[in-house]
Amino acid sequence: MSSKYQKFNKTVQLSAVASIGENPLFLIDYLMRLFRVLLLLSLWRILLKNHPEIPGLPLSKLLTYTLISEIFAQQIACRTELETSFWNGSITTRFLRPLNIFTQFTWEMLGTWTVGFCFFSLPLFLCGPLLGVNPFPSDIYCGGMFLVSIILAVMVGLAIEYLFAASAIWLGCHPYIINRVRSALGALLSGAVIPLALFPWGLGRFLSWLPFAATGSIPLRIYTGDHDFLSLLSAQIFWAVLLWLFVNRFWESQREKMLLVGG
Amino acid sequence: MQIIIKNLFKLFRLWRVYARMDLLLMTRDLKSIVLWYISDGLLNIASITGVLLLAERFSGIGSWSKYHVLFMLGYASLIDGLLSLFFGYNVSCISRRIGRGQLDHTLVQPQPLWLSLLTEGFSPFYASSVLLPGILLIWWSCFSLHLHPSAGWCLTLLTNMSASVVLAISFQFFWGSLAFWAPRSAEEISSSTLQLLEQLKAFPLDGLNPILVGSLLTVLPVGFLGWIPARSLLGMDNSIWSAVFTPFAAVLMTLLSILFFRKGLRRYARTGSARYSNFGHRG
Repeated sequence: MSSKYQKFNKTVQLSAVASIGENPLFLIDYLMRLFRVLLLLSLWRILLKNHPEIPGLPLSKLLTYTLISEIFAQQIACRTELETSFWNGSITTRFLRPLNIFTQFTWEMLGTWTVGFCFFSLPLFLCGPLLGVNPFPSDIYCGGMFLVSIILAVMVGLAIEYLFAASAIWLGCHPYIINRVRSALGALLSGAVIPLALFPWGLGRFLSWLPFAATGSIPLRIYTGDHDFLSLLSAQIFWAVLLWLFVNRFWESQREKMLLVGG
Repeated sequence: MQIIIKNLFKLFRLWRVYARMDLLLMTRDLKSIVLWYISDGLLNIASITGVLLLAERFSGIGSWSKYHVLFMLGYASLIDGLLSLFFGYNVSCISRRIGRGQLDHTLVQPQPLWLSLLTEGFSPFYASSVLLPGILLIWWSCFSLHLHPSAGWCLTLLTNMSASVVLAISFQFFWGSLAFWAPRSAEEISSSTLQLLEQLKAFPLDGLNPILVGSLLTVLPVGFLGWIPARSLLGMDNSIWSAVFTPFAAVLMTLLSILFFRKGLRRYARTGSARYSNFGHRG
């Protein structure tokens, strides 16, 4: 058990160091995220000045929602290097390692998160009051439930990640295509960039039933004071169980069909 | 003068050749091209849908009506499409070509580098998935706003669009040139900067903090890919300055990027690429 923990711990450490050492320009990505959050915070202030009537989402909560969404952007997006490894062919050597394939990618992802947390998320959280945003949860229960919810969100996010990766094999298409579709759909449908409650024609209510909402909208709603914990967490558990059951079978059936040219 | 005409003819000849190659690539395999086409269209639509839905919900954004926002999104989308039309196949993501040592492929050709870079990425068929929605959005907004475009207005539109594309590609080359000095770590910098432009181009910047607006017009010039030109074209800012602001910024950005790219190229001439190996393009 201890040896297994050490292996995983080492993977996390290696991944964290690599994300800085191999890409010292990672700060540009943080600059982009900073611009995005500043832009959205300003946009909400302008939009809600004349429309204070959005039910359950006053300006102060909306600002907290956006700030926390950016702080936990990596957890909400939940991206691994799986598709990149299809593209550059490194997936072949991964299969030879004495570790589960999902576990390898998941722990590497955790390594990159530690860097993002230290260099971006934590400073942004601390700067929240300077930006005129309360970065704290609505109350202590919401804070506690948020932690449970974000773990469930990561589980759903990982299931979606592996589902898309297996789909790339199934469709026999370039992993780049699947990667782009996943990013585009995730950003729009998770409610991470624009809260689903702000969508017109009751579209948000419909989208909140989809698995993407379980990765972003649900934890953020809990953080900003939605006390309907039972139904929100149940939805996340439902998607996590359903997707993982499906993904395991789907991946097992597709991994043998993987074809790599070049790499 | 004769050389300019000769190069111009060559430019059109090469565009024709690359258009044919683009068509061949598109038609070689129906499944992959349908997937590429749908994914690019989806990506483009997803990048503007959020703001579009907000404009619908709030009947506009700040001083921008719903259809003004639609026009700006159409403009921004069209710029994306034009960038993809003229600078596809990793020309707009120049750091990949430089970082991987693939610039050698371009340098060995018996023609000027600028001509290669201006033609190699020409992809009219592939780019149509982004171009067509942009054209549709502009047409829809013009129709809804009862705009009656005059010849002068069309000229301003074309000038601003050309300037926006030049500015965007110059911005890409400016940052992408970093790969001359750091081929491995800066290999993907162009995709980061392109993503920056794609994500932030869709927001009107009126009423924002002046420091933020200043940054979005200088450090990260996304304001020129939609907001400033749309303000001028929709008559929200009637000063002459607003009409020439984007072309002026494009000239400045182009000069900066040429300076930086040439500096990098001089270094490349001395060092070459250490990453090019007989296994492929990445050592």
